[in-house]
Amino acid sequence: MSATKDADRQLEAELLGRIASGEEAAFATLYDRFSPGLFSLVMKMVQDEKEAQDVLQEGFSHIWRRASTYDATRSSAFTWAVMIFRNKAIDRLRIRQRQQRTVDRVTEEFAHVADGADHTTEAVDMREDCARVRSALGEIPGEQKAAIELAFFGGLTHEQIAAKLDTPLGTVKARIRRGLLKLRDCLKEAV
Amino acid sequence: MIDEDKQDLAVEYAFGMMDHARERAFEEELKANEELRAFAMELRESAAALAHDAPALRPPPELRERVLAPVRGELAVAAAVAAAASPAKPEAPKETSSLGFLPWGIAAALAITSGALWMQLSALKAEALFLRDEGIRLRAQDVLKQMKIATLTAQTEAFAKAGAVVVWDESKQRGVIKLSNFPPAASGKDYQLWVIDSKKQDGAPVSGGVVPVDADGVARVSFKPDKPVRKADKFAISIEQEGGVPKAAGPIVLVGD
Repeated sequence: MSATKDADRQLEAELLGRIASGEEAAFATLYDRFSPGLFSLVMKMVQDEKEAQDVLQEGFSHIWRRASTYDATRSSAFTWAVMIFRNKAIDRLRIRQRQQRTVDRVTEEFAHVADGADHTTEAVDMREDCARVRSALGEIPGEQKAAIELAFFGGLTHEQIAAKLDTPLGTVKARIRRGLLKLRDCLKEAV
Repeated sequence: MIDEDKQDLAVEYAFGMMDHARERAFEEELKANEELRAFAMELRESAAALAHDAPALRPPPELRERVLAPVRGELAVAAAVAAAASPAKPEAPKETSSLGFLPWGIAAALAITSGALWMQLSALKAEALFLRDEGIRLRAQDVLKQMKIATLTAQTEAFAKAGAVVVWDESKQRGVIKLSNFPPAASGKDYQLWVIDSKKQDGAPVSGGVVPVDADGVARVSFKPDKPVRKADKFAISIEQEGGVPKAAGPIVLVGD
């Protein structure tokens, strides 16, 4: 992992520690760092801007209240946050029983793609992260990538993915396992 | 070497596919197996990195304030409570009735930071949105325009999962409250609804009556306050003596506008 990434992770973990102590400024800083990436994730999952805003608000409220439960030895702060927001988005998807429609939509339909150059450090970092992940995903066979996306963005289990793709469960498990391992290796190489 | 079955479990863990019991059991296994733990953590980080594959968007600028305002409000309330509870305060009233001041102090502080009360949507609000989306409320659209709909939010950790929505019709001086995920009231206690009327001269909350919660933690009750309400600014639920009390005295567990 690069020194910059290490420093970012440390800073973000420290921010969560300060939030756990009730420091509003740290919370605002974390919001500024994480909200674009998390909003993008939630939008891709729920595909409804108003609902995505509600999830973002709920998720940050959760972070404010539960920052003390973050364990830096188990994950990075970003991963911890991603899992919180993803779970909240999945809850929404389940409530509204829209999984089928949601996972089938293509992301390019969004009308609100960020425009204009944004030269803040966070935005540049985020673009680098995006490029890194997309490049890594480009290395993964299509059927593995499709299964991984259903698992991550659709919140589906192995069994649900097998049913949706009309593919044996063992095949689905192997695709996801191999795809995720490949993604891990590509991300390691890219750092 | 980690076999494929264990790798699949690590994948399930990384994607949050496990139910709570399996996740707990797997985490216990991770504690005893450093190689598997490192592998599972790597997969979790890789899975979370998929978030970067979403098309780049920025949340609307006003959302920042919606997120930060409740935190400021909460901190203001904490400061107000700390100040109210400070032993250094001169000539603090000693009578028993002053015990009821604290929760209503919280409510007053919250009134000052009313914007802050638009906290995260509770599960009930999501349910209300769902119902709206389903069209169930469309029939009553015109009627709804004249109604106040308040989402109440928890004031204590014990009620963090509880939700409450109040629909209030000022012209008819009556409303409906729906509760969910409420813990059962303690023996000899009841949940009681209060309406905070900003035009009432003495500022005392008006009772909306007792709200009995069933075994599933759910309640749906029509209510009519025991005094006229000119402007219902906020609603609150407190824990009171069984059967309810004429004047609020117990701790507030949810409040909202």
